[in-house]
Amino acid sequence: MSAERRLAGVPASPGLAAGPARHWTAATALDAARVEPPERPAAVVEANTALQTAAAEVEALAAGLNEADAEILITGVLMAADPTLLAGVERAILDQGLSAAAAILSSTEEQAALLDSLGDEMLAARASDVRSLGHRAARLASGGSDGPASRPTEGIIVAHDLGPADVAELGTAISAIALASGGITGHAAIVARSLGIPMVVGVGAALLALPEGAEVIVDGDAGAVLADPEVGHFEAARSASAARQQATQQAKAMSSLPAVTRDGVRVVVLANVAGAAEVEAALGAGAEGVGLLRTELSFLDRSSWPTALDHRLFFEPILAPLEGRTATVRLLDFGGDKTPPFLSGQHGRGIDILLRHPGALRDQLSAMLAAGRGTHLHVLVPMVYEVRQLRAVRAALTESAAAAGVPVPLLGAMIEVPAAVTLADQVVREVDFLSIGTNDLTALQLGLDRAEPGAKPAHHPAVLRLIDTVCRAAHAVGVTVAVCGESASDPTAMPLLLGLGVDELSVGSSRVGRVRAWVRAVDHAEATALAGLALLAESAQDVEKLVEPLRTALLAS
Amino acid sequence: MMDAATITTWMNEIAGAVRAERDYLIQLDAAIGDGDHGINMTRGFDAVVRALAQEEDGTPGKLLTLAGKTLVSSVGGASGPLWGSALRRGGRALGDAPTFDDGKLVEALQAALAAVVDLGAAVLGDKTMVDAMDPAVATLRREVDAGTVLPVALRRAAEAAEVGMRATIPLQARKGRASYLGERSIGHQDPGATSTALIVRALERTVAGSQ
Repeated sequence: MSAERRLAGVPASPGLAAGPARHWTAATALDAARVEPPERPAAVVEANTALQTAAAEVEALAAGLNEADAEILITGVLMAADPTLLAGVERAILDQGLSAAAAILSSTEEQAALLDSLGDEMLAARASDVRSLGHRAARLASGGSDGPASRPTEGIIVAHDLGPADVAELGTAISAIALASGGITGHAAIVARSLGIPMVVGVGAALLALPEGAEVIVDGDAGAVLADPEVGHFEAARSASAARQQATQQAKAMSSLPAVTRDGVRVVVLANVAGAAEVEAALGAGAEGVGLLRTELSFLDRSSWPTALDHRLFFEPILAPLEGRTATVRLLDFGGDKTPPFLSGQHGRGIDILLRHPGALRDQLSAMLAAGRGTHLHVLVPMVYEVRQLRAVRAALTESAAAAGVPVPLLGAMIEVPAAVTLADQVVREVDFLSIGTNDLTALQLGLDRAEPGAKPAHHPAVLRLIDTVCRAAHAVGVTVAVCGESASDPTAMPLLLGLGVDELSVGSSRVGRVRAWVRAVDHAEATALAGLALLAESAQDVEKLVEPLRTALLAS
Repeated sequence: MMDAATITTWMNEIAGAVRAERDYLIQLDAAIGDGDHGINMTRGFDAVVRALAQEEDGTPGKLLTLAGKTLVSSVGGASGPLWGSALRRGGRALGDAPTFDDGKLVEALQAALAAVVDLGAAVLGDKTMVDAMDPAVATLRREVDAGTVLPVALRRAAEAAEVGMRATIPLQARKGRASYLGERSIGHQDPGATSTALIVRALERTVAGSQ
């Protein structure tokens, strides 16, 4: 019997999982064999080709994938073509006789170590990307024997570091990820979160000493890895992890079941996404399309407005799988905590900023119209508070659509500022659909700081009354209402939203299956009755009491 | 035995009764609420009558459920959700059978009362519709169990509802909008209990008229 050991790390993606440790050594098993001088020039060519191929692979994966910024990944890719790196690789081969793979690894590691040593979090994240690229290229150079097929496909993935592209490739079949290092800004972590994979980073070298196949627990909430876990702990974690996998499987299996309430009301369930991996996961779980594509997250560290080409590269991998489906693209929502360097000091948020830069708006519109040709494209305007903004966007949209020779897509307003609710009767006449952003709406209505932790109860009667006003105004003129905030996948708020008349729910891709199951468990008339009473309640707690029996039933469904 | 026609007639009777007493209900509600109870009840049961008229054939359970659903979706305030849930729960208790007997009617009304109590979290003496509904259901149950013929049992139930209704006058409201008035709610008859008494009376007329 060995005692349970706790290896402390940093929580990166929530959830508890147990399983056998699977080391992803990522091309560290190198042939130490020296390359003879006559073959060295060929090895240099081989190394350059491997770096180029790896760069192309990462670029393709990254363009779609990141809730973090493509910019950083692209920087990693550019580094693969960096003359300093290439020179280093060349010297390592020609002078020291290293193999192509070994030369790539040592040179990228040198670059990464340099970035690490600067003590800047952003640059440390870049170091991860450079390492990840190096490993990828090294695998290619050593004959691709460590290609996707031979990588671990299940269990707990243990590695020194992973890039976001690696996490996306590992997919949802694995139970969890534990990294010895890992940038704190964590691009890999963002991908893990969006795929619902528990992850702990910064565990330290002790992690890599775990024997292959050893049973371990990853606690993504506490940020720890438990080695030699006690039987009770292991079983509890394994059942949590089995339940999560089962839920994913079940969501897949039930993805063909319609999202219809017990009394026959159809509810459209869509996904909130920022990249192609999430689109794939969401469609697999039965999402009918995308209800919110966040477009600004990839450009947060930009030093200038993204170009039409940047937008095309971003949109194409995301919109391609959405052919024939709803693709709701939100215009760049910069400002507040999402202010890139090139906008620092500018006031306003969302559409206000974009309207001050009509060229930037046109670039994004023309790119989405081109990339979204086969989809049912919906254009969503962020942070609307008056109809002037909607008219300006519609004018630009009509013009861009005419230029692209495509029909004008549907136009919608985000309802996330109470002012837009007060003016709802005006707003609904300018749009084809509405999407309520309950996170901001709740914070602004209740005077809470959005960035502060703590409860943001969208089921507060003061917020529910706003939603009720919006639904009534919209339905009076035949405009559909979606909710794309956290509340759409909250078991207390979700039935009330349906009861108030919300037509569509857009939720995180890992929650699509669950929310569809809830829809099937809800009786729409019962939800309407509860919502009617919730509007009269005096506090969020009163509403919680009212919904408690239904909430319990949903969680058990 | 009662059937689908009983439900349709009952709903028609209610619609007529709340329309006739619309101004009275408004007046009662204006004293301790926001004055819309008479309007809400009239609009709601008119919508029910329209919905049932479009339902060619349905079991009594289905019709009562539809009536509840219509109330829930067409009436604001608390009365729509509460009466709507009550009728839906009652409809479910009637099941799929084409007819129902006295015992089944008692079961359905008991389920309806339970729905109101569950949702509104009100108990006897809170100055709400429960004050009229609870004694009516209890009386009906007792009379039916004792073998009283249904029209008579329903008349006693309706009387019990009216006693409960009047008993709300000296009470202080503890639930709903009227509770904001605190002691000032004392001395006024509760509009929800009043419309409840009208609804029980309408059932009595329905059954008496068909026998």
